[in-house]
Amino acid sequence: MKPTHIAILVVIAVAIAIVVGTYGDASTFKSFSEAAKDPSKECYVKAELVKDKEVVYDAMVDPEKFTFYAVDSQGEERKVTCLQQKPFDFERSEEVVVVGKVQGDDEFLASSIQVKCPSKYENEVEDI
Amino acid sequence: MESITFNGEHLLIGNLGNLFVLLSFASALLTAFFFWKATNNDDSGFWKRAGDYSYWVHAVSVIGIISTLFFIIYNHYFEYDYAWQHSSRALPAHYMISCFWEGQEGSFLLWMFWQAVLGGVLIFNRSKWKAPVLAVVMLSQVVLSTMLLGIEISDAFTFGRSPFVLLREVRPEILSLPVMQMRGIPAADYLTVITDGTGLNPLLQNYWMVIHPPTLFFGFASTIIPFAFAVAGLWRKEYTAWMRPALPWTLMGVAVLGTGIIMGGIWAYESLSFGGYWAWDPVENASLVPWLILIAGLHVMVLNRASGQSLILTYLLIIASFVLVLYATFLTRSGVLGDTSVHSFTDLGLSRQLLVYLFLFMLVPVFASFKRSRHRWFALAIVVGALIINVIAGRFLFGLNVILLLAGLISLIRNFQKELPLSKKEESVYSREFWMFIGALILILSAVQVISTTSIPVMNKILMQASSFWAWLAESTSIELFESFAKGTLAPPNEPVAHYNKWQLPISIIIALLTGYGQFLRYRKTEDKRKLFSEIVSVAIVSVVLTALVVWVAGFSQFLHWILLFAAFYSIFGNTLYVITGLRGKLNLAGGSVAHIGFALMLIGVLFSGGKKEVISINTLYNYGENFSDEETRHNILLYKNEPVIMENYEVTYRGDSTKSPDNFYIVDYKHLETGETFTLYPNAQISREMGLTANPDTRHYLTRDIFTHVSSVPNKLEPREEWLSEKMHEMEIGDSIFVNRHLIILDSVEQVAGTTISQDLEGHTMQIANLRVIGADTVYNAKPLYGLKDGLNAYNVYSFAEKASIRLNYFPKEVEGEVVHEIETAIKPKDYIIMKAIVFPYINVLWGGMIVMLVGFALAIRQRLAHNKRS
Repeated sequence: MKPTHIAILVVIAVAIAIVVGTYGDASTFKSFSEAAKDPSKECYVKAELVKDKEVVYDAMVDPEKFTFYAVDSQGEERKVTCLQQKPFDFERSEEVVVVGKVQGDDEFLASSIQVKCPSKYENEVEDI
Repeated sequence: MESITFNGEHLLIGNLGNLFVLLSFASALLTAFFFWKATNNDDSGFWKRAGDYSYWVHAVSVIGIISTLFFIIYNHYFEYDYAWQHSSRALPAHYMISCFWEGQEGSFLLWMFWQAVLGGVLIFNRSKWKAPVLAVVMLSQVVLSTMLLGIEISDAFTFGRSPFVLLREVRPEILSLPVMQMRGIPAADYLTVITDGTGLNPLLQNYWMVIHPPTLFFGFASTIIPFAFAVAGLWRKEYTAWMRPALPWTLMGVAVLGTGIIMGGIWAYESLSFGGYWAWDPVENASLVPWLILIAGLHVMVLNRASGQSLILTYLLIIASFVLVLYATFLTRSGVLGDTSVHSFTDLGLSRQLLVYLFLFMLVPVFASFKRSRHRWFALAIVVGALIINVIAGRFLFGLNVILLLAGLISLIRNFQKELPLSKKEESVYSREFWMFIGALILILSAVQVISTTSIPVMNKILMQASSFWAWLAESTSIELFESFAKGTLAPPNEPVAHYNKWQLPISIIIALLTGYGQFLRYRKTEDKRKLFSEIVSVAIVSVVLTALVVWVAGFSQFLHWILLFAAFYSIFGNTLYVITGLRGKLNLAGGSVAHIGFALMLIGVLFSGGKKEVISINTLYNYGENFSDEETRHNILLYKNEPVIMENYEVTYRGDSTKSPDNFYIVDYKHLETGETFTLYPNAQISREMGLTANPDTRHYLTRDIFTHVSSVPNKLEPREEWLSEKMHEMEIGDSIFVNRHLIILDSVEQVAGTTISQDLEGHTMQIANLRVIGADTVYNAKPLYGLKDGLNAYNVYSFAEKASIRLNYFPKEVEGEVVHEIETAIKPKDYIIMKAIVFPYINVLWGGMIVMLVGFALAIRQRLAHNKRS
């Protein structure tokens, strides 16, 4: 076997390890109830902001904490505590993606949040 | 509705634009056809001349599209959707050019423009490569121009999207807006209501965003040239000769794409608030991957020219670099990244088209590789057949297309092997080509890692195709991962930076070591091994000493960081020594070495600025409770106006804001506690309904470090606010105290006086006064709210303010079961504040310097290759 061949084999092995590692590190989108089943693991939850419940944020008390209520795709509503400064104009957002885990009985503790505001663009996301 | 004549529209200009779009498509198609004919047989030169002419028609029509669109934006013709969506009257003229890359149609246009420019350079080429290369470039131009066609095939599917669509065509609802019904404006006069556009995204209103996207698109566009040369090589069955003319183009692609990526990093650092120059965001990754592959391709090209090895790898990499550019476009333009990236574009319905082109261009080299033209036609028939099946099925048949692609790859390699048997030459591990080959493989690994993580949302869609299989596998193995495969619920890693670093750190170590060591080897075989070892060892010794010194001074604790530092020093000294001894100091030959040194400097810069970056705005005031003891979550500091706060070695004071629309500048004074040095930073935030708060940092630059500051949150001035908030009643007895707004309030006594002692007007009133003390950290106020009674009824109240404490006090005594209860009402005035983050980036100038050195290296290499090609 030539050294080149050995190198190629080693590289293919590492490439496989990388791809497997990617899926080992990958997180999952879950619903709140699925997240509650495994409170030790952080996951992604896609949910909608409940507009008629109050978003609590008091920068004077704690600039990096706000709470709100969100309802996931299964229709389950949960209180979400997010340890970040509240995104500007958060009350107007519709869809949120929170990354975190379920804490205690019913609270979802999010370490990061992505907010989709009603955009000025019309989203026409089609299925491929 | 058809019969309405709309008033005030400028339809002529849009029709002209659409004409240019059609013309650019038709002329691109013709040019591609002419050069295709010219490649196959052109003794008279007829086809080549025809190609030249139709190319110029194409170039003029591309310029025509751009000018027409600019004219529309410049003149605020908001009846056009593009102008309405992406510009506004208030937009300064120098940002109007940025409107071109806010919308998808505009960015395809930009790409077309650059490809047309590159075509314009190639048209003057006199070599045999001109015709086939231009045929491929123009094919890509055909594909891009279809993106702008906007021909409606059916209700559900429009072929491309024209930038000249009218607003009322896209959004018919604007013909019956409530405001028009209220004022009785007929639909024909809808333009009297549409007075302004929705404006350009504030993020794009930044000078880096004027130059970064065009540079990046120039880089994207330039990858077509090496690809076209590679296809031309297959086509003409001259499997290696194409590399000599393609090499300077490849180098240029690497240089320009690299510059574009770097500019994106600088833009992120200068004007985004994620706190750094690189965030492993999918959009960044999508441009990084083709660059890595192009660099790998460049290296195998060089090694193939020198030793004749690794020909197949050269082809695969050069083809892959362009295909990956298309893939990057698909990723960022199809909306597939929707939930995972903040700044990917939304879908305009072009994703199917993009996907077809992606597959088509993967097959172009396969067509070219067939020797007989009837094989070529046969393969084309299969592909067209597959396309029709996809269209009939009405969706993307993943399995079928992948099988097609695999068949394509196999026939490419088979066609290839028939022509050129794999080299049976002896190889030596003491040869430069062996280690360059390894280096290329490592670069591929780096790209594989980035692309596989970035593609997780795509994988969701792909894996879902075999959903029932994964569900079965999940059930029989009870591995959770397979369940997410089945449901398509895979998400990016929770800690993306750690995830990428885990792989990319060791990879960059190996690459740095290879760049430092490879050049001492000769092509084929290095005979003088003693000299080789003495060079390697002496460089290693110097590097070890320097690494130890730096680790000791800077205090790096992680072992891998030590190794990276060593590898970077090794690369710097190794390449320097090679320039001095190997090239005898001839800098014009040293492009590669200079680029390597630049890369190593960048690694050191990244190691310091990333590894030693320190958030100094640590929030120590607030205790989150034991669950949140992690300092990670306390990176922002609250600054009240005019109240100094100690932050690391600085005393920082927020002094207020000043607005210069659309920017709000927040004035922050810094004072160094030891040196007494003072400076002021003006972090800026643009606040809009569409985008929320867009923070632009301000940075104090020093030679050895940067102090990077941005606001994270400010009071929302878009919402009307009450002046006094948090009204609250407190029942108190004499001597009691309460704690409000960081002040202690003590009720010392109450007294009763006649109204006339206060004012002559208060004849007949009885005033009850509460004597309150408001005690702050270093202030004491006396507050005396009044409660007035006339004829036994409450007739008069006077608030008392503790102005600097921002507390309002009111007194309501009342009698409950014969006893007087003192009720104090407190309210607080919200103070102006900002929530701010400050980060120190040490030695970030090493990173910028390294980038410049690397780009200089590319430039030197291009010059050397061009000079070399001219000589021979």
